[in-house]
Amino acid sequence: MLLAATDRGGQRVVGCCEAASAQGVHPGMTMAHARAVLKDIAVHVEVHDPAADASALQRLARWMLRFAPVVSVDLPDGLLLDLSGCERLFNGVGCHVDAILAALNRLLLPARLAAGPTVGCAWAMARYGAARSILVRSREHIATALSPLPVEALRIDAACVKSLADVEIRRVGELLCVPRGELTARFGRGLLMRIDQALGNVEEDIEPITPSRPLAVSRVFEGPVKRIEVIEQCVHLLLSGLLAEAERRDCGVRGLEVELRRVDVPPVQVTLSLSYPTRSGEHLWRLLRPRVERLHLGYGVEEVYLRATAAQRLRAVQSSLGSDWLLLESGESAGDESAGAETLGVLIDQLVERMGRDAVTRAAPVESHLPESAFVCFAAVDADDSHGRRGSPRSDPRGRRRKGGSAAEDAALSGAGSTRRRRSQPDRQARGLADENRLLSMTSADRPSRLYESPEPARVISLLPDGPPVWLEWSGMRGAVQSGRGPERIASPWWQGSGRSRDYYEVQDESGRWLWVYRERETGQWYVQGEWG
Amino acid sequence: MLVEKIRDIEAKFADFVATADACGRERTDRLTTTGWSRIDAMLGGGLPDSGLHEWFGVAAASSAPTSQAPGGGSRRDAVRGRWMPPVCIVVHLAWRAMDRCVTPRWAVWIGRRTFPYPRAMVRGDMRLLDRSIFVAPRDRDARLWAADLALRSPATALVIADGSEFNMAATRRLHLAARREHKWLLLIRPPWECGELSAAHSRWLVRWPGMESVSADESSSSCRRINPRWIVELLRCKGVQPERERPTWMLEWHRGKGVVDLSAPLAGAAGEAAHVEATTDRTDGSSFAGREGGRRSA
Repeated sequence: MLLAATDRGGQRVVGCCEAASAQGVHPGMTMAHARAVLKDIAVHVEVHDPAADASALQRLARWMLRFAPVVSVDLPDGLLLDLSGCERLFNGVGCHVDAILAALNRLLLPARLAAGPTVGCAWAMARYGAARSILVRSREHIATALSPLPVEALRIDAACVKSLADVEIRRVGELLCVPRGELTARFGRGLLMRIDQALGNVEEDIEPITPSRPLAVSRVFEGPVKRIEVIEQCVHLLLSGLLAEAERRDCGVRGLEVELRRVDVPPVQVTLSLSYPTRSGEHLWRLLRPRVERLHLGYGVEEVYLRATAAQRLRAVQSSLGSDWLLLESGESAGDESAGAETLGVLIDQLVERMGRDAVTRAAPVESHLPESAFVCFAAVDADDSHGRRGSPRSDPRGRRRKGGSAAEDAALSGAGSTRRRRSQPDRQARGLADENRLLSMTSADRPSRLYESPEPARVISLLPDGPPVWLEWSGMRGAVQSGRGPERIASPWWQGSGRSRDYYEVQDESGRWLWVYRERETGQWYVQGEWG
Repeated sequence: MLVEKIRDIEAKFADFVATADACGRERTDRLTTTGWSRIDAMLGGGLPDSGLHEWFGVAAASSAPTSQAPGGGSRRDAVRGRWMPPVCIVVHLAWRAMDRCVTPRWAVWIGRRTFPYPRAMVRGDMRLLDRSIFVAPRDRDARLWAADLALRSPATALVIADGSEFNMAATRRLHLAARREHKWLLLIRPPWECGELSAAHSRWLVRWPGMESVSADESSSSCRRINPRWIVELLRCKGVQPERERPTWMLEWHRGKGVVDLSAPLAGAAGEAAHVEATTDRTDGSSFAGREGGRRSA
């Protein structure tokens, strides 16, 4: 059996069974080549579907909870089980591993298992060990067990493997003989961290999954219902029930889906995405009702299904005695800050509901010298509390999730599979930098108050080839430049390949308006990019 | 029966109601300083911390401002619709409003024209940028609805909106909402709409200084101005009677601090008195600095 994927216009093997592997087929090989190798063997080819694989792995992980209380998915093809404390139930670790292997065999899953004192050790032995089932009993044996394995067993990237191969280090044992200081200097801290994780010198977390029931309610009618008033009433009642269930689970709804299952036609859905978790039925119904009213009932609705697509734990709010009665000098009550988080969410949700998700945004700085990419806009609905948003105090100034903390609970509450979420690097980039770095990342140079969506070409006369402009024609305006400042040179990042640089000038035209113009050094073309208004 | 119950409740809370009324009156009368001393002096201490304030932007012009068109722009520019909102000034006022709040609240910017380049909102800290929401409605009605909604939200400290094509009814509705919620609504409008009827508490016209404000001494290379400047003209302010009609001031952007301040008068080349007689395009001879003292009517 071969798993095939289309890559660069051709089909390539991304996985194969043991029989094919024994014949010399390996991932990365073209399908034509693989078929040629397996010319005398009947080949079954399946299209590789990574999403389906991940989903199946997720289901298998949930099934494996019968063997260990903590199970984690190690994409793309692994599972991590924390067996600590379970050995008595299975008469020792060896029997435990055998029981898991037997269970997987019954499912016709030819898995490779390894048990070890550390995640890194077990990972390496399972993938690169000689046997299908390996047990490393204590930390003292880790180095010995890992020594004959290739350095890839330490979960290091291909570049690092290549660098090690350049100095003839191909086995873990050879690597462990090299002084640690030299490793850091030559190959970076990442390699040392992986070694320490494998040997147990550094703790390593795994991200466990937690099964949970979805937060959903439904109602089935005795016959098709064609009256929208009945549907509205039903949705309203279901919403109350859903919020009661959410209260029982101590969480709030952040995403909602209403599905009307109709007779003889496909179901129709309404989805809501909220900017904050809430259990306010009034707020949700205000957003939901106009959408439900517009739904087409077809030949009648048989069932109404209401589901929370996202749920989060509600922020604890300190109640204050009589705060509403005590007016501070500023005219604001003491409870305003905590109430502000919810009232802001209500405002954003209402704005988004009418104008769309992309019409309500916020801005955050990102690390870039180029003025047009120094800030990024993101939907206000997606904003989280990591930068002290919503007027609520932060528990962690760096905006990180604490271990096994609220993010885990949030995902579990909504019925999602994985409980610990780590924000990816591009996501973090899009949301802006950490608080302590944001001000430092910004240039101290003056910038205009308005930046045009795209720089507008201008014609300029300069007295010197690289000098400041003395005459400017742009957007129907022409005249002498009265005064100016500059240049300020801004270069685009060379590692991104463009390698262009600009010389910026601040110039004042005859009307007294200050414009921000620049000359592209490579082309000599002038542009107006902004102004002080 | 019900009437008696209501009277009992009123009697029970008579002291509190009296106190709350006093606070309410006090809040109504509170002023927020603009940070521009001479303007604050003329306004009697600052702008009321609630209500609608209109700022008319600058029409794009290819020449120095003329007196024919508001804002110094030509009619051709007005027809073309290209104008520049006074973003620096509005950002400065937004900072004043945010500083006024004890508990952190939010600024809502409605309409793409009002959106500043985010860097202009950073002044040593990022409070204003972190607490700003940018809303881009499609049309006039959506802008009006969004401004009204934002004003009524307890989470907001002030609202800055593009007020193009707002009529008297719209401005009255917004002004009343702003008064009731004790918030500033800064409405940015194109300069050619300054003749339209409006319920705004105050109306300000902004224009570029042109070269007529630069004296011979000042235009010499040694003391040439290097900061962006604007002429601000008070068209109307309820309850304020300036000594002269439509007083004007010169505001200046301080590049280092990122703030807008009153432009400091320059000394002449021979060291004579401060240069306060900067000429304007106005024919009544009013100057940019000094002598604008007014009184606030009771």
